[in-house]
Amino acid sequence: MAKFMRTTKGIEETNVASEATTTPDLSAAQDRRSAEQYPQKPELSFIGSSLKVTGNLESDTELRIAGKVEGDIKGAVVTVQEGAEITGSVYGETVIIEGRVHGKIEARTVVIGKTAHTTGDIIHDSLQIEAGAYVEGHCRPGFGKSVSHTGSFPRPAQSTAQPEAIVANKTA
Amino acid sequence: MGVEAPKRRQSWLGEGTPVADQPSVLCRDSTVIGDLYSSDELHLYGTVIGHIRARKVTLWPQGFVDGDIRAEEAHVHGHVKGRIIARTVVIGEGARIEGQVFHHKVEVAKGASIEARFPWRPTGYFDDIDHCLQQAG
Repeated sequence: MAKFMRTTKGIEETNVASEATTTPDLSAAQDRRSAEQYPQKPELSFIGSSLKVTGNLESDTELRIAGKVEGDIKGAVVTVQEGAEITGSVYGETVIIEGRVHGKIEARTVVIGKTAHTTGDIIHDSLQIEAGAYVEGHCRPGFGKSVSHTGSFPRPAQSTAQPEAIVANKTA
Repeated sequence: MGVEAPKRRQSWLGEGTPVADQPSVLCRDSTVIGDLYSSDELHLYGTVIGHIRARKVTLWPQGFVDGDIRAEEAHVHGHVKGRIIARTVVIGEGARIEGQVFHHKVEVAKGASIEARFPWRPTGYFDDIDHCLQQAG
């Protein structure tokens, strides 16, 4: 009997031990979950409402923007959602605007939704504006004919401040 | 047969539009030349040439960052050329790190390629990340 008790106790102990070894895997499981949420090759880039980009944004595929961008944007399909704010130019094959854009819009197809607020020239081949949209600027056809945006964005000058120095100061 | 009124879509964005407060994603074909600031999560599959500040940054394989990453939590499976400053740093297999990793807790998977220093910092150090960023401009 005593022998049996001992064995069950042993089993219990091993169970506890196995539980202890499995607990650190929680973070790994969370990681896997977020990997499922975003498959290895997401089809589009999404700038969420909590994200602010200062600089240029370029994509060969689709861009959806719900956050703030201070800089130029280039993509095959650029969608500016309601609540988004862009200060800079928007270039693309297709550009759909439902948010605020302060800058030039240049695209083959431009669609401006009723919640849009745009200030700047619009260069297009085909333009659609929904009733209710605020559009301030010169709209003209001729996408790709004028001095159009071609090639990559030039790399901007390096930021003046060197964070290295700050880290060094903190450690000192 | 009467003329049918044209169907109006709810939104031009179509179906499957990500909700605005969903985590941000930068896909493989995307490049950002500039800085990214987020109060939330950030998933990177593309290229960033510039600094990043977010609550949580996940750099997936084939992602590349040339610049600093400041976050509460940083998961790196891609290539980083620069500093990582995060309370918790998880480096996956296949990651490539060149630079420095300021951390409180760090995990490095077997197979990661690392050419970096790993300075440990007390947890309070990371409360000041934003302050660092402000100074950095």
